[in-house]
Amino acid sequence: MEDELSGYRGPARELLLRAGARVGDEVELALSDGGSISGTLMPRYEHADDSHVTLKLGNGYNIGISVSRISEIRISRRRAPQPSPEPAPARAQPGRGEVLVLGTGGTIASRIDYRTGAVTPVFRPEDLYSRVPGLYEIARLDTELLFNVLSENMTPDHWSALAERVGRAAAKGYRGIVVTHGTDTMHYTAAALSFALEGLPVPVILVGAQRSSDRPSSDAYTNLKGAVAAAARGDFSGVYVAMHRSLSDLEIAIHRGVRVRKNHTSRRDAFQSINSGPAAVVDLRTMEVKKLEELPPRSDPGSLRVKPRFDRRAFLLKYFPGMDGSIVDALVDAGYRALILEGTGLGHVGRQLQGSIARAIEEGVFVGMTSQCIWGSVRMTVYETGRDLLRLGVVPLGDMLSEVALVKAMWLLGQGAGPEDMRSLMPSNLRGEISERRRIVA
Amino acid sequence: MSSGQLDYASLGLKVGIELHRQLDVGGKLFCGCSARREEGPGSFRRFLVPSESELGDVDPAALFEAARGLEFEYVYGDESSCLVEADEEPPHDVNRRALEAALTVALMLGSRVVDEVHVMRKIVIDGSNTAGFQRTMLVAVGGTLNVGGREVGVQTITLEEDAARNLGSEGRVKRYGLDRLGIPLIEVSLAPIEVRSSPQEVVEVAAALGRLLKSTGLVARGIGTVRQDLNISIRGSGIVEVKGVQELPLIAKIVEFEARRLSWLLQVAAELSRRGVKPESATGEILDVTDVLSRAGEGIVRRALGKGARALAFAARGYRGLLGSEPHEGVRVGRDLASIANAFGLGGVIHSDELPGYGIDEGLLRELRARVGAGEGDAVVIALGDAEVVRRALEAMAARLRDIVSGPPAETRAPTPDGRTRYMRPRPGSARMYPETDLLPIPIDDSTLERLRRNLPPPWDEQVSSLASRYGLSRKLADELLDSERYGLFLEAVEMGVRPSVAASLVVETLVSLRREGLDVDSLSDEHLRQLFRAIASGRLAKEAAPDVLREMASGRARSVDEAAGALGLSALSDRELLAIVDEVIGRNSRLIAERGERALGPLMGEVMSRVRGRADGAKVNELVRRRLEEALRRQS
Repeated sequence: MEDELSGYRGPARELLLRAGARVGDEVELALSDGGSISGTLMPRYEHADDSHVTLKLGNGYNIGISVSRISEIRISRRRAPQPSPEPAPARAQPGRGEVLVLGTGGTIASRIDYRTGAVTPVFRPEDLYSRVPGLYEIARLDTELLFNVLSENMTPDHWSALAERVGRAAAKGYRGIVVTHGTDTMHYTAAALSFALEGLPVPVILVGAQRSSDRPSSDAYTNLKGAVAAAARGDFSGVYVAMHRSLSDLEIAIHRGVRVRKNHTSRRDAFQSINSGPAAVVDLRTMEVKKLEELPPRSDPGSLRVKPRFDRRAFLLKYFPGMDGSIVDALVDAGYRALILEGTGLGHVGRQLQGSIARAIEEGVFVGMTSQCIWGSVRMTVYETGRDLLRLGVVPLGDMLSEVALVKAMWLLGQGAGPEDMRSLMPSNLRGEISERRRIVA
Repeated sequence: MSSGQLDYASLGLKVGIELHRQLDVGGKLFCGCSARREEGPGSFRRFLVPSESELGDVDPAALFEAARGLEFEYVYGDESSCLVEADEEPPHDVNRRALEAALTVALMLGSRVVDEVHVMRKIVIDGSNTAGFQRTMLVAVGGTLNVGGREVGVQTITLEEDAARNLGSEGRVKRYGLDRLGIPLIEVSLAPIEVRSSPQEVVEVAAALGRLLKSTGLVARGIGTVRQDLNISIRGSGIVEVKGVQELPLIAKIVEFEARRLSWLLQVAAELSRRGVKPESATGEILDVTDVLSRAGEGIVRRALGKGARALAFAARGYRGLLGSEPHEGVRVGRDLASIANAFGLGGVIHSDELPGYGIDEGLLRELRARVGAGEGDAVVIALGDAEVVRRALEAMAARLRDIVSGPPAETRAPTPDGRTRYMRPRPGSARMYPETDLLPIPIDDSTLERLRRNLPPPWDEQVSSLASRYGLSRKLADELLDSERYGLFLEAVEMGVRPSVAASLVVETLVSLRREGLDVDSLSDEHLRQLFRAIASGRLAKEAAPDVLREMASGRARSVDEAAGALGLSALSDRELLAIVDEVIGRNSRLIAERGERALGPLMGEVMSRVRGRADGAKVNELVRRRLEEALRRQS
């Protein structure tokens, strides 16, 4: 239900309720210290305090007026009924697109009503075409809003649902599929789809934005164009993430879904391929998609196997100096079946953990080692600590990213892998998540 | 219309001033970067994707530019820019000192401070803000500025981010420097004043507001730290906004020019109405006339068409004679059409009032008139170039000619250095603003206001008196000094050891008189003046030589004080030359030395200094004379 006093709480809400005012009404506030002030009643931010009323003045500025200073609220004009958004001219017929755009949350594009300040997300193909210059020229789109969750609220259940939907679309003959996604956990979802979609015949491109789509400088539009170009034109298959390659709006980097990580809180080039360069790059001037690495080619839809199940009983544990073994014991007691350690350097944890790790492995829990260095591979034969852990049965996971290892463990467990399967499959390269070579020039 | 005196009162001339001034409060408005000027070395490139509704407010040239896909290159230095300027990081909390400076000004003007400040995003799509919007907040409304007995109303006081520095453009790439982006700016908007007898009244109001801001000690001074927008209208005209006037004296000229221009447009409108022209039918269809003009004689038309340009034209009903008339220098309807052409990247526009010419003879003109359906009393407007660009440009020109029929249109204009104005774009509608969702509203509590009220800066006159008595200056000099854009340099000079009266008259009087000589005083950087003060403080240069040195530099003949001094023969003596003079003086005064011993130092110094003043450092001279004197005394004993 729409709240007519959106965001207002406490005294401010009571005052407005008594006056019968609604957001959008034109009001005149009589002030207790004389004079009055007129404007349009605006919604209140949810995290703003409850003792001010927000008004938009005739000059476009918002201001807050203290409830304690308002002696009377006069409503000079009721909010006009909201006109339904004008449909943009239809340029494509539904169901006949070349690329399917699946929405999972966040806003890839939006319009702003400068009268009310309201930001309205847009997602229909015709709205996207009109909002994103040049998009229509790249590919005809179908769009579908699968779910609407913030990226941090994504769960393995969402990965499963998404994998099934992408699988159906890939089988149906789309040239490619674009998944719009909040950036915070996009690389987890990318890894999940990579494992869940075996023999993927087309490119599946995840895309997000670091700067909100309500600003003219948003990277949402250029990222989306790059993603659609890669999905429609890339001569490769598999799961990728499309985001800015640098601070400039010149190139969109296409990262492999199992090698990518969000490495910055806010920059538009936050996503980087780890231990390798980007797989491909889209030139935003020419919209040309250029491969930078050998990649699996597009293939026959018949080869696709969708394996969407994830078992949540895997845990990613980051070691820190002095960490106590009791946390490992607690995880084993809680029923976890796989423990991915994010160790120091080449793959180490303190000696004090060894007893608990030995017990975990004895009880059939898979224990794998990754490095918190992010870049580089673990190598546990170099130092005594590493050798001790190997002897206990800890499995080194090469240069696999710790987040990818976690998702892979959930997926393998979801496929019914037992302790022996885990020991053999976790360190094996299934989707390009582990590489043998790390180039001098990354 | 004569170009004599204007009767401003009967014109109903009104001018509103919006004064923007940078605040000098340490750092920028939404991050911790330095506000100092800095070039390069890094850069990145961006596009802006405004939503179509933002462009809706009919700026055809901006719409056109956006459609062309303008690219922006941003140049940044490490101290003056961080990820916030690059639009790669959310804004930090507002700079409290900047906010309190704005509140201080509000209290001084008796304005009503809002209870809660909301930061807004104002859409700006010319690339001057990396985000595509400028952050701005309304801090106070109402109040009064007192200007010599006249009460001028205050409308609003806002605090906002300065835009990036325009570094020019090349083709479709516009370049900006990020060093200026985000510097806090205070904007005070005054209610329009009715000009009674002279545009000088407007200058006085602006100057009074400037002094009030400077009296806070919180505003930046110097070139580029201040600019005025003028909202000018006469009875029957729309409001014309002249953006970014930097110097006070220019204001009077611009106001006068606009009064003349607007009253001419009123006359044009009256004449058009007399000729029976209606706004909606004032312009005819835009037609391709390349075939007609391809027969033009030698001239720019033929050359352009030879290079593949197309020619398009339309008829302007009743405009014959009105496009080319220039009742006052620079006041001409055709001139604004040319500005529109330029905005679309065209070299210019041709209209029938200038024809025959450009290789178009009477016969061709008749054909042209017939083609676009122009009658006897009509004018024809022609532009050459890429057909699509020309069509859009002519559409914008036709729209303007239709607007003029109903009277002088509201629009935005730019000042020119000679005090005229140039058409920029139609006046935007209401500001396109929405809340800055990355920041929470900022409540202004009573205790803050109380503290600021207790600590308001002393009134201007009081500050002048105390400056005068502290440094032993005349009131007039102290007043001009406190008002000067280079006041900070005066303080530095005194710190260096320059006598206050010398420093003050250099900063104020010397620079003003050099400006009167027609020299480009603004080209003298603060660093130039610092060099000069250092030279004077150290005795290397006599204060009397300062005007000559400044003249050398302001005229561009010398790049530094040393260079100027050298060119003027004021170059410092070499050690050997100096020693020769000292020895010569000491040799000649052996009797004095024998009689007075060490006390001969004073008279000897006097004599040497009288010969080397302006060419040698006093302390060095003192040391040399003392050493040689001691040696001479040893020899005598």
